[in-house]
Amino acid sequence: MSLLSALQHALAVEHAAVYGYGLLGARLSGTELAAAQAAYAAHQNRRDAIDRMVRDLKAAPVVPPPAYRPRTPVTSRSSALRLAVLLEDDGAAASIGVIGATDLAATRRTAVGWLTDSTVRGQAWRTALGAAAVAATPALPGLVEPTPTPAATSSS
Amino acid sequence: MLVQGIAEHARAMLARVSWLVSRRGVLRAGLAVPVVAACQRERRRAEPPVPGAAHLDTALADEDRLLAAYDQALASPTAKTRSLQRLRDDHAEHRAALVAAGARVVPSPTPTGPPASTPRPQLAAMERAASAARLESCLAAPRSLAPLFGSLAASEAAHAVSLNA
Repeated sequence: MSLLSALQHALAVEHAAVYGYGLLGARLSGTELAAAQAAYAAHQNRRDAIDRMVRDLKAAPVVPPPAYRPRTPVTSRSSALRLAVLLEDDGAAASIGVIGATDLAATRRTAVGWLTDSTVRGQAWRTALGAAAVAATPALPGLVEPTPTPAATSSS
Repeated sequence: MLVQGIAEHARAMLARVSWLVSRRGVLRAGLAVPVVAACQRERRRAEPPVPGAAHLDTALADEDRLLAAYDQALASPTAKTRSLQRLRDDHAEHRAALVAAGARVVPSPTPTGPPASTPRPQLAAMERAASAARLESCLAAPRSLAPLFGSLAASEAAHAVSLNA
């Protein structure tokens, strides 16, 4: 995969993450809502950074579709947390794609930063979901397809 | 008398043969090990250096140290077993991935065993150090290995966060 293709894919993933966090935040409250708002801002920043990187390669950045179908319906706290896990897993996989598509150390460093951020956030959302979700945390984030995130063990 | 003489002669021959066999076996085994080792060394020298091999070997040594440290921590009666066991399991998967990628156990010139006890802050510090080292490997590695090192760096950074929680 070329660096441009990897960045365009990562950009599409970030568009979806920004949309997804905007959607799921409505089902959360307290510290979880604050964490979702922080994640929303982080993914906006990542999206804008990738957009600039694509432009630096003299290409037109992909634009978000007019509407999204979330990967999991968001109808409750637990489903909101599950979507958050999926968004971070997607972000981790897209970051791995960028790392493997370039020899530039600076780009790799940036992408490892994204990967680490998604891994840590994903871990926090899994912790909020409960023990079964934590047990399903991938040992090699972004590389190994994570096992399906189980439903929350606590009430939603 | 004749029969007894033949029997004694046979026993003596048998003893000599078995001694020869066992001595040959010992000699063969004794010679075989260094010869095979020398052949392997020659073959390894003849192979072109694998890009990123040193990073793989270093990462494997770090994983072994972390596994030993988690084993120490899990042996403590006050350990939060489930959370530590999950992190240890991750390191076992890291190790397997490194071996699959071609990492070799390289004896350390100054072997350092696990510390006598490994409380969570010390485990977290080891995870942070390993994460930083894997990031540097990711920056220097060939494209085929960079994703693995990046993933290890992220996983170990998340472990450190988990241990500090």
